[in-house]
Amino acid sequence: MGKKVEVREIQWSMVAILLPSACILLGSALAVITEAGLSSRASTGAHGLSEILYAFASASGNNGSAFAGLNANTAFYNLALGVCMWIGRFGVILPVLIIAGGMAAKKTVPPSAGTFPTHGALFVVLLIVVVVILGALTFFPALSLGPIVEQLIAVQG
Amino acid sequence: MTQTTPNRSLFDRAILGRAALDSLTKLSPRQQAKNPVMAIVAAGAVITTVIVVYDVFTQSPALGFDLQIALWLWFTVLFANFAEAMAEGRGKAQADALRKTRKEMTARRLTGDGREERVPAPDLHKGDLVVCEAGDAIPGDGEVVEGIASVDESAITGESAPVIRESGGDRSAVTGGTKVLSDRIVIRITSEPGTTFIDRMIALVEGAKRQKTPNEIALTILLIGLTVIFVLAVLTLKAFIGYSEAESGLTGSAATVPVLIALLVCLIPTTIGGLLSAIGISGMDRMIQRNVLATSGRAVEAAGDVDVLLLDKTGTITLGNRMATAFHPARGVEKQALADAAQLSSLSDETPEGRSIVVLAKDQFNLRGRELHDLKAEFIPFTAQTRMSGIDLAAHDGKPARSIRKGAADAVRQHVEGLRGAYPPDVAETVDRVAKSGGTPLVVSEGAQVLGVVELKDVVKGGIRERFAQLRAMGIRTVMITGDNALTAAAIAAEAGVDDFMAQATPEDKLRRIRAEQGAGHLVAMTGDGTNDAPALAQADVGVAMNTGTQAAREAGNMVDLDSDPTKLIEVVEIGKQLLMTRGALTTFSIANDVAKYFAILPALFGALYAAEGEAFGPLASLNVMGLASAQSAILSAVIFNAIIIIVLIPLALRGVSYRPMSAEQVLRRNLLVYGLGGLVVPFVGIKLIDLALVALGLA
Repeated sequence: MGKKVEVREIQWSMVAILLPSACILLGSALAVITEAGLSSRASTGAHGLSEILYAFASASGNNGSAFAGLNANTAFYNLALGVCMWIGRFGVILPVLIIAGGMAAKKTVPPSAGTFPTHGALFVVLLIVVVVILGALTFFPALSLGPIVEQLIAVQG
Repeated sequence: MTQTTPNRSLFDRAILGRAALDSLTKLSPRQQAKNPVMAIVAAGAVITTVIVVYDVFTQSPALGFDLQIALWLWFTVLFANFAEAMAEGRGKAQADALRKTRKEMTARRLTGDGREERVPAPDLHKGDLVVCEAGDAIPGDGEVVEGIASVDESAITGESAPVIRESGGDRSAVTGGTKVLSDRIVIRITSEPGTTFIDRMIALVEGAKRQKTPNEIALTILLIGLTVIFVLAVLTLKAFIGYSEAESGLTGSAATVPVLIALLVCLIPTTIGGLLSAIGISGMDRMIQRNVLATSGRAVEAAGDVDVLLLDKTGTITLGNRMATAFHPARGVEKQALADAAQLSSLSDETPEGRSIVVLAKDQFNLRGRELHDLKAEFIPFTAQTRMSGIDLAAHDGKPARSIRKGAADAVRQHVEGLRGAYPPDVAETVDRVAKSGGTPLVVSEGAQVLGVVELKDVVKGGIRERFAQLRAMGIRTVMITGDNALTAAAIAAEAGVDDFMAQATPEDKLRRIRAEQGAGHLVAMTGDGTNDAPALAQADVGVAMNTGTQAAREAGNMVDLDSDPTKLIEVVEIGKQLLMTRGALTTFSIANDVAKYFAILPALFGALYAAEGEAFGPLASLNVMGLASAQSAILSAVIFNAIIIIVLIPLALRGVSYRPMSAEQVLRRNLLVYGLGGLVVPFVGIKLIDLALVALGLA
């Protein structure tokens, strides 16, 4: 595109990454330490945590569904998931719009051999790796206590 | 050219010792607060220490383990401080040497009525006039307004050969602390006390005035963002693990506060956080090693992003002065006659071109120098109006009067035609041929007759063509600036392999060109020395002023090259690129490391969860892919690896990643392989080794 990524862009993209992640993690954490959060579970153990994690991940990610096992129609979940949905939506839209606005106003830099080409396999691989690693680093601990351990238990029988 | 000053070894003993002390003083909260990532580590270390004290009083069985965690957290902080102190140490050693030159000096100030008075140098102010004679130290920065002198600038440049400083022209700037070796000059002081060149140099090399560069700020924000993510991940983990432990029916949590802090410290990007400022300082340091002073780290960084270089032809691309290489007489003129006339007209011509003509005449025809006085000669100097120089010989000893001129083809043509002479077509052809081949034709005439052409040639520096090819591979365009006509410029440009050239360029042209390039989104670097270069130097993103240049030029640029070597610009760009790459490489490495640390610490925390009846380990113990001995040894190994990797990477941070001129994509692919993949694999090996060592030592 020929636009330079500078401090402002990085700042707002960090906000866009942070807000939904924070919602998922903080919301789920709140649920597992409160009676209001725990009482809605249909199952205990690892699957119970999976239910809660899924509910918050899906709400923050603008999907809004929940496992059938989790009774989300309680005051606690309606409120908490509502807040997550709100932040998960506008907490991403606004920073991205700010970046877009800033980008549009910037001068275009003509590409040269010193410019990193954003098409081609290297960029695709780099992008995928960054997305996977950043996501994994954020959610790996929580996930391993939920779905991952569930799977392992299932495999071990 | 690459290394002019004696290179201080990376691990000079004096610097090491001082850095070790400094890393302790840098523990002060004010210093730590500058680096948010390391501040968190320090806070973690404090909390863990408090817990250790608590352990002591409660005689907790966790004491030994908590103590080790606390110690290694402190080491992590100290190691990061040490990295920064090492980088600063080299600058400080240099600053001490500079301070010695700034001894108490007295100045001889001229009062309004022309008398001299002795005042201490710090009392001098802008605009004061001072006198310096042979043996005097120059009391402050200034400009020579009267006289000419040879000056020893070795205190600043390290170069022992004296330089000439004279009033007017482009060599008028003098620097405080240097010494006049001969003659007498009057200097107008141009800086207030405390802001002299030496003062600024000291502040720069000490890093006292170091500000974060835009790139550093951006990276810091990224690191803070990552840190916040990890704080969230670890904080919420406490809740999740509490839940899971309760569900597994476990009592007593594996996730104690020291363990969680250890996990957090391992995850946040401490490697790059700890080395970030060291990398920045070492960039300045590498400039200083090449005798280039950057006024800010920002300038060093901008150098890494530069994609257009404006290079003066003379001295950068060509060896400097043009030399006479051949005489081409006009039809019907003896070659020797041309040589004779050319030599006569050049005898008093002190320009290098003039002298080279005398030398060529002597080599080819054995023409000796003659006493102008005996010839009753009058030398006609070159002026910008006539664009010719020459000599008028009065009639003497029965010989007729002669009037010889030499100069640019069109100037001589005008001159000859003005005398009703003819400008022969074969001379015009020769002129074109010489110009096309990259030479400079000088036409010689006597009276109204054109005698022929002297060919002056610019000799292109060896190896410069390869250099430009490298720059092109890096995506940098080179533009040659020259006062020559378009034909000559094109020929030299083709020979040197530059991408573009500006012929007959005036300082205004340069400024316009820079603005045009910047308008198109390019970052431009240039070198310059004259006062008329100052606007262009100020406009350029990276302006390297020559130390021999005028004060105005030195203040306009954001770097000063103490060796006054215009080729240095290429190295400056390389250092800048290397700096940016080092930062990127270590960030990648640091974040890739986290994967292995998860695999070390998480199984340690989760191993016992959901264990089947009667078994010690649950399903998540299978995450322990490294086969680490125990939960405690796993956590300790990760923390120790995290601390030690900072020390291991200090030399890399100071020296910079190895750099070869390649396109951005090639560089990135290579660095991703080395530092990305390496960052994934190395900690698995390292943590496992430390784990084995810990078990062998019986520490965990």
